[in-house]
Amino acid sequence: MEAVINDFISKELVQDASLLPLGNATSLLETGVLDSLGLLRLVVFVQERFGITVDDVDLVPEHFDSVDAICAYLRSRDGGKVGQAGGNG
Amino acid sequence: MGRLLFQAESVAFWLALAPLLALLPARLAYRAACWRADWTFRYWPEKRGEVLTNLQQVLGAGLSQPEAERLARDVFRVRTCEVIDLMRLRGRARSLRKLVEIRGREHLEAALTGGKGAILCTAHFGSYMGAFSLLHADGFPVTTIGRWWWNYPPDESSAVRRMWDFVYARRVLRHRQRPNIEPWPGRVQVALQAAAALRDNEVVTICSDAPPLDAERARTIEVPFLGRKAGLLPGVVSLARLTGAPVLMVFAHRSADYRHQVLEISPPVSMEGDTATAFERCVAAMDAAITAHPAEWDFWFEPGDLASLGLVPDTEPPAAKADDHVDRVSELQESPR
Repeated sequence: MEAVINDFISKELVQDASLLPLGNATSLLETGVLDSLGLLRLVVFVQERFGITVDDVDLVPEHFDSVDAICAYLRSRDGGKVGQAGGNG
Repeated sequence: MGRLLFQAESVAFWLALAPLLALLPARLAYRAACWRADWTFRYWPEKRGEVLTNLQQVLGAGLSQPEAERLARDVFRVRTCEVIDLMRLRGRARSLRKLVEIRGREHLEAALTGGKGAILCTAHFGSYMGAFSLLHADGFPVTTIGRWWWNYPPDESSAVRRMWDFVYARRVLRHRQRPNIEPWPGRVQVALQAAAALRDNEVVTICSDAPPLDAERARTIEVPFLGRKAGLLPGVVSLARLTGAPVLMVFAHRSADYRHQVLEISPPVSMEGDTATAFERCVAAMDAAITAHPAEWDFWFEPGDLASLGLVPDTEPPAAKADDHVDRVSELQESPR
């Protein structure tokens, strides 16, 4: 799961090459990787890739601040089934 | 001295006179608004000259002096009438609703049957905030993406902010589904908030002619606009593509009697092609509306905004820019960006 998300962010959202390779713990907000529309792109990707719908209450930047945070959020959903179902691509 | 006089008059108009005028029959209310606008136009030569210069610079030398004078006076009238519109939003906005013919409502209804919400895109044109309020009062759940102008200057006094909250935001937000989504730099949740509204099959409005902030300038794209290349933010296209929501253009313009308006909603704009191509279609619609009804565009009052868009040379000294918010308080009417 980490690899899939890291790959998407690295290829689609990181504009500053000096941030690559992207660490899974790197803050995407503090480093400026995510702006408002970038965050939405990331949410759309996660929803489509892992077949989930992020609830309105979960649409907060904190859940998407790093690759680790995203994975932790996904694993917290449905008892971790999300990661098992679609995380190895 | 003159500026202070107009600031005081403007505050009195917003706080006391306009709410009273709005209670009169529409014919009288809007006629009185036009008298007030004509008085301001006549006795505020600095602002009149600024509007005239802006009109001539953007619309070209083909605009004769008498034509430019008439247009400038219309700019003053339209903006004052918009204040009356806002005051007539009280209750269920019926006193404004009966003056506005909505065309293309079926396009919005059809767009919402898709279940992905709808994005209404416009310019700072006509009584757009009132128009959005009317649509909400008509049963469409409307939320606006935009920054209140009084939140721009970081050192704006709390008294001024409270005044605009009281006279403006309070009236507008009564007819909104959610609080305004304000896209300030660093507020990364903005697009998520808009997406959440669209996911609930609501209507999100956005003005795509907003001058970019310095922090946003890198994300602008150059598009043909009013005969020049303007740097505008294509956020409406990005939001539409990410959410699947259709984009409809909406413009409200005033009739020759100044009290009746037509609110036109377009069919969905094609999002085919790359971002620039799709955004150019939205900008072309804004361009056409402004060209057809130039007096309705807000930015004739704002040389700084026109310069920021790349439509007029940036001649304002830095010190004047820093003091810009002082002038803004004295405007006839301001508008969210």
